Amino acid sequence: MKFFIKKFHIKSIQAIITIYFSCLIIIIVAIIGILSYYVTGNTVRNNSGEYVYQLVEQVNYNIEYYLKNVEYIADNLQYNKDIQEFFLSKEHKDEKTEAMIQEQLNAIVNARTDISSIMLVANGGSVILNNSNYKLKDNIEFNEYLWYTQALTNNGLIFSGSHVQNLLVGKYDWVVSCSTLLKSPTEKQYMGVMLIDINYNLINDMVSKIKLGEKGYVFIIAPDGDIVYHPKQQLLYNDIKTEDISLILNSEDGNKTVKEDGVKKQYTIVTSKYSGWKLVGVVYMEDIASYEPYLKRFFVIVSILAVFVAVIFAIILSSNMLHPIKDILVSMNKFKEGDLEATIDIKQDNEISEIAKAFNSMTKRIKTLVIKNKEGEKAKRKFELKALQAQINPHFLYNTLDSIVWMSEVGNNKEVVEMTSSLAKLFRVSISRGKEYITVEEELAHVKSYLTIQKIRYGNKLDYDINVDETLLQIKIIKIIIQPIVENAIYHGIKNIPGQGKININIVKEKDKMIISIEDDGIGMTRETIKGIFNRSGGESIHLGGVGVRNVDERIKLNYGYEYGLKYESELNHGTIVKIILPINGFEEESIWIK
Amino acid sequence: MDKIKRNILLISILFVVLIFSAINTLNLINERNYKKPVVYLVLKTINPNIEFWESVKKGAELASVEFEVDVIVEGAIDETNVEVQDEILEEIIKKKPKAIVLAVTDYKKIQPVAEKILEEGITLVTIDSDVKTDYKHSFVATNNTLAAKKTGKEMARILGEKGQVAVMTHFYASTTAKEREQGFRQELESYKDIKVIDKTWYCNSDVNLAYQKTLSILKEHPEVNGIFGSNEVAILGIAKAISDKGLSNKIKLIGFDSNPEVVQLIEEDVIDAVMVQRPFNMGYIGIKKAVEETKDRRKQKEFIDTGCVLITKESVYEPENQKLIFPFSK
Repeated sequence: MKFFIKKFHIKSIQAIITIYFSCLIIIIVAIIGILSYYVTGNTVRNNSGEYVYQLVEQVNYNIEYYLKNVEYIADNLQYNKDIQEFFLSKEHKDEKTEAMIQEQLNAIVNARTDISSIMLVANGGSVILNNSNYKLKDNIEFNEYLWYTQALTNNGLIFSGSHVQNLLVGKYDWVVSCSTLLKSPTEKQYMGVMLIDINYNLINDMVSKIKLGEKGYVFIIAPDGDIVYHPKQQLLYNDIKTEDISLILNSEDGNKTVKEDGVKKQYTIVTSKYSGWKLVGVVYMEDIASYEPYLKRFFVIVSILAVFVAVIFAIILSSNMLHPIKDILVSMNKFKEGDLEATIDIKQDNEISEIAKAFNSMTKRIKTLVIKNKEGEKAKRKFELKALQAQINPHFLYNTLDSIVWMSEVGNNKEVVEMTSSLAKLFRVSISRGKEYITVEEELAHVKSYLTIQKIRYGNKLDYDINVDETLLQIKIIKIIIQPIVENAIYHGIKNIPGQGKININIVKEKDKMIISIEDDGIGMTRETIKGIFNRSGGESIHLGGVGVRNVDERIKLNYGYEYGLKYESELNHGTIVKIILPINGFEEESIWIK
Repeated sequence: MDKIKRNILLISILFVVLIFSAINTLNLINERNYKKPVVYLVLKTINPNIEFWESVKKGAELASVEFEVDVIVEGAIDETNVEVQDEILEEIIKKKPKAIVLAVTDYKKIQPVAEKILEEGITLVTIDSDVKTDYKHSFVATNNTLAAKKTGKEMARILGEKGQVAVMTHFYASTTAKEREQGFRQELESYKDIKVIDKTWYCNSDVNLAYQKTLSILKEHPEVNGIFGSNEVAILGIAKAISDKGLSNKIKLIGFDSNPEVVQLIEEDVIDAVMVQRPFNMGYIGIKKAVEETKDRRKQKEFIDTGCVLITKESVYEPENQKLIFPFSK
């Protein structure tokens, strides 16, 4: 089978299951078929053997019953006074007695159609026939006849085979001869021999009608092998048909199987204890086995049915089994493509659902790890940005300090104080004791400090205005997000226009969002410049900290999600509006994943 | 789930269909077995008093059981009525049977219808008497020439190989009569001291005519000491004549076929020997051959000699002869 599967490259489990299943069923059906075929065969043979035996015994009983009737007649005649008188007399010449006896015999024969003739043969040779019209043939030597000699030497009735009686002139009847010694019951002296010929018709009728199967028949042989009755007697003499007579004569009663011209026959032999005849029932094996073609066909049909059913069951079974596997495969492919939500719907509880369960828990675990990993990355980035934002640009510090020194030298004390205190404020907020979130108020203080420093440095060139929704002041936001925008507005907007520039900072509430807009009336930006701002890393020397616009955006998005962040609206020569969009309730520390 | 339900339904339907077809096939087998093929047996005569044909029928009946065919016996009442047999055969051809077993009444007149049978593809087996045709067919009969030669030999033996012999046959046109005569004459040609009279007497299957003709033989050829009779009618007429003339001891009488009267005459030493055929075997083998040939058309077409037995006073009551000489009938 493996060879078969290999040879035809059958890979599908369904096909393999189907093939194995069908083979299994075929083998089982074949075994059951062969066994029941033989069992049926044996049963039928035994039954028919038994049936034929009983039938033949019945025939035997009928024949014996009839022959006993003949014996009864013979016994009656033994005691007949006239016969005794006639046969015991020396001369046997009493014609009157002879006529009386003949009349009595004739009465018996006439009363019974089954008796052909009765003949009494006296010791001396004189003969009495049952009919005066019958004429004995000339020159008959009784000693040449078996019925005569056997009757002399045996007690009781002697039965011959069937033959044509050849004692009477012009009378050629088929008879079975029954002969017995005529004994005087009183004198214990033998008087002669009595011959009762019974019509062969009788035996013929009793046996010929019996049909055993289509072709079977019954035949009878005498103890010496002579045929008493055989339906194919003429064919036997020509050897067209044969019967194993010697086997029958040497066999006990029962069944014997013989072969004739390659055809199997079964003999059922019953021996009559009374007559010594052997009755043989002949049954042709092909008659007994006539059920065989039906049985064969039946088994073939049943086998086809069984294989058919097996194939269908195999297909259903394998598809039932394989369907969940296909489901698993689909989910696995989805997972492979990156869908972390791919899970298998578990319907059953079996080995395959165990696989599905294992797959589900595996994907769940992988999903957890992936999210954890992402959060880790996020936290790491936040950390980096925090570090950057904590840095203070030495140039800014240098420039500011330089300005302070310069103003001191001039004696501009008031401005020195203002600038120095602003710088201090700037740093305080920057550091803010390591906190990441500060209130809007604190953030605005930071921006104001920065703007104060820049205003001192730039003088009238820079003007600013801050408007804030008072309710928002205590809301916490991530720190240092406004200053880099303002810084940008100064360096890229106002610095490049000839006159005074103004920066307006407005903080308003819009539904659940806080909008911080930083508006300048500077030179404005092209689309490319905006892009550049976002792409530039925070390493630029002009910045206050290592925090660029991009970093601000990134930090907002990392902290609050991607719907938040910066929004630029700019028109060349008219100015720029930058909107920082933040959630109002988004200030909680989302640091679960960092744990 | 619905899919499975649908599958189960589908399987059940197919299952039921298969079971029904199985039952149907089984029934078909049964019906085929009950319808046995038909073989027609057309005899020269269906007159129940003619024991020869009754024996043929019995043999055919036995064969019909053994070879599982239905045998339908047909024939004319009068053996010499050739037209009736012709008509019967024409009717049978219309029924298109598998096989016809035919005892031909007339060698030449039956030829057209016999050839028509063979042309229709019906198996034809002739028994007892053949038909004139070049078509191949099987013929089951006594080899009359051979049997007649045996009677000639027996005649020579009982005549002590010298004497004068006369021949009487039953019918001048009968092939069997001709063959018997020829065989008998041929055999006796080899005995130089036996003279067979060239003239053949015909009795036309009439006992009285046979009797009359015998008387004329005895008159014309007083030195005759052996007579051959070609069938039981001829032989009975001859026997009656020689017995009436008291010439039983002088004239040896040998012939063909037997009946109880013939047997009685054998026992009375009027008839010395008769050749007996085996009509039972003819019927049996005829049917057997026909069945075999319908089953296998390439089967060899052949002549089958059913054999014959010479019956004398001594062998009349031999068990194997009793059934031949005394056909058992109820």
